[in-house]
Amino acid sequence: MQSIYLWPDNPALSLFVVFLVSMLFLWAARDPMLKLLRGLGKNLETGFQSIAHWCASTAEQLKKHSREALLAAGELELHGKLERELGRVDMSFSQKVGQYSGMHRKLDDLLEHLSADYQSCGDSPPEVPGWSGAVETVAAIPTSMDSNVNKVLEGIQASMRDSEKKALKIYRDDTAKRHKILNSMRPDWKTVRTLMSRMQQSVARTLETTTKIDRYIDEYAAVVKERESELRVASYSAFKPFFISVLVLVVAMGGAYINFQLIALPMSELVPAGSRIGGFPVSMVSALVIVLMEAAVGIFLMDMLGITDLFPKLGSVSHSRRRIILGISLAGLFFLASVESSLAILREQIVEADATLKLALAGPDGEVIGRPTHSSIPVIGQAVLGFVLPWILAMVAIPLEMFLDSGRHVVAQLGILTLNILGYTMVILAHAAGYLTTLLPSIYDVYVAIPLRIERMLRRSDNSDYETEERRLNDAEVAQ
Amino acid sequence: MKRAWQALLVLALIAIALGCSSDRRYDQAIGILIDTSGTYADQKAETVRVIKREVLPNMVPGDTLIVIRIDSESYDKDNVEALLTLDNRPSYANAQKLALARQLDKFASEKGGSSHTDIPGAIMLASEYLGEIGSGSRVLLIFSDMEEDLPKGTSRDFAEDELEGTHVVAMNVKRLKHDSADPIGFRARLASWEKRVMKAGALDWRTFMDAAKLPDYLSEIR
Repeated sequence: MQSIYLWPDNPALSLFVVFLVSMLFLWAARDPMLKLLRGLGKNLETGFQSIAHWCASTAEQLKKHSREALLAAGELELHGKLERELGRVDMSFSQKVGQYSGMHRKLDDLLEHLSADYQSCGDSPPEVPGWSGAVETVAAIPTSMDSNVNKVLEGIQASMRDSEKKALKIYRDDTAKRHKILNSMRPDWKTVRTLMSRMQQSVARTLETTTKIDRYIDEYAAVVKERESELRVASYSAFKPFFISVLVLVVAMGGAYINFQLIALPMSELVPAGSRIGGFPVSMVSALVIVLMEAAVGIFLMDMLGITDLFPKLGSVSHSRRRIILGISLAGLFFLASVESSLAILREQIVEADATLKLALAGPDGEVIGRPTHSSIPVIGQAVLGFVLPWILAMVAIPLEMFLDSGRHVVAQLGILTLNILGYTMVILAHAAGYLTTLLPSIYDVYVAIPLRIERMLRRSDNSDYETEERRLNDAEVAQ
Repeated sequence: MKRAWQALLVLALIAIALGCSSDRRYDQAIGILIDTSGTYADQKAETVRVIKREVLPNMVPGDTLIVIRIDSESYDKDNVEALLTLDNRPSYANAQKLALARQLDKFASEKGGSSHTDIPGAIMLASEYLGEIGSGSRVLLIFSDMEEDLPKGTSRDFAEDELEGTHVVAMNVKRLKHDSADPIGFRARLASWEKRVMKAGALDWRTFMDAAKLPDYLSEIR
């Protein structure tokens, strides 16, 4: 500040002189300066407006792209669900249809058997002999005094009773036989009932599946026909899988870190411990590679199981080849898990050897430090962890796919939001620039008010048309 | 077109990954100079103890250790007590460390002291070895009272690049009788050593009284 003082001992006078000189200079340069200020304000306003327009159009474009991508993703998901459901129905139907013929044959056999049994257990009372009516008539003749007649009658009566007894016995025997047959029919009825209930369940399940398919078809049709209304639901649901996948991925990364720590030290026994790649020991890099390989094998495994679809080309591979790749992936993962488990055991041995070495190097004072504890629990724990963690890590493919799918929609939404905020800010700045276009010339005139007033007074005295001139100047200023 | 961009991206990533790898070496060469002159001979056992507790356990596979005795004529190959480069396998390296510890114990148990103290001779010998190893980082640990006492007719001048790229640490500098009476003189002696080693191209000069600080320092300069 002091550098601008003409007389450092007298700052007030210096500042006054600077003020006067600047005022005179600005008065002299008033016309070009006003043009400059107005031009600057207008240019700024136009520039900000252009940026705001660009932001709005880009945001709109991004929104359109995002909407298309979202709808495509929704369609694809529904398509996949439909395919899966139809596949399940197909499999279930083929299975059930295969079983149905057998079940039906069994049911037919049973019904035939039951019908025959039913026929055979029909109630048929024993036939009364044809001559029984005659006998009854003879038996009904009143008793006479003739002993011969009496004998004959008594004989007829006795034979009558005998035949009645015989008929009753035959009837009872038949009834007992029928009861026996009916009793043997009970399990058959039970079997029929079971078969019927199974058929009912199958039908119910099929109905349930078809209802599901109906719903998916409805949704699919809604997405295809009423894209706009469904979009809101779809865009809302993009955030949920995104945050869940991020959460699961963070947890998985924690697991991967533990996994890495478990094998980093023992890897130094397998690879040159002194060498480095990019500043990191080779042992660490190889441990990292193993962990990443586990994740990669997991991705293949999940793709082959049909849970994820990270490699679309693998989806078109034939069923037999799929099984081969699945087998290789499983074998690879098992191999890596076994390697990691053995490395975890080796790690414990190295740690123990290190502790023993330090103790030996410390000399007699080392006794104070204490000897390492000998327990098999850490070894078992590390071996189990080493074996289990790769399998858990293999599942990272699921949240990874979710993250990739939902991430682009979320990023697009964030991009749209940022562009909108930027656009609004630019609009505000354009307004401010427009306001400054009118404000700055006025401030300028205030600063040079004294010489300006003097100039106008002098002009008034010199020129009778001063007012006309001033009006003209003012009009020109307004027009500008 | 999209595939071409993807291929380009992958190539760029590979190029970045390759760019990250450098030829820089991360192994460390540690030269230890142990004063065996009369005034410092009583510190031999303590020196060996410090090496065993603070230096050896923190050495990693690939590191090199050279132990040189400071006596009347230190610029002699016979003064090298031990020279060891740790194997790449940690288990072998541990065995090597144990063997070296036994060797150092034997050295500590040897009686007698030299009549003169040829510190610069030992530094020159060590710098030759360290230069030959060409490790990523080089450090000289001098266990001495830093009182130079050359025999008559011996001349020791450092070359300008004698200690280039080497960190020099004066460890456990013993105060002599006259140092207690004149601490300024003691400090001036250390300052003159600092000046001398820095002039010979050393990266830095440090003095440690507390040996426990050594592991952190060694890992810091690695």
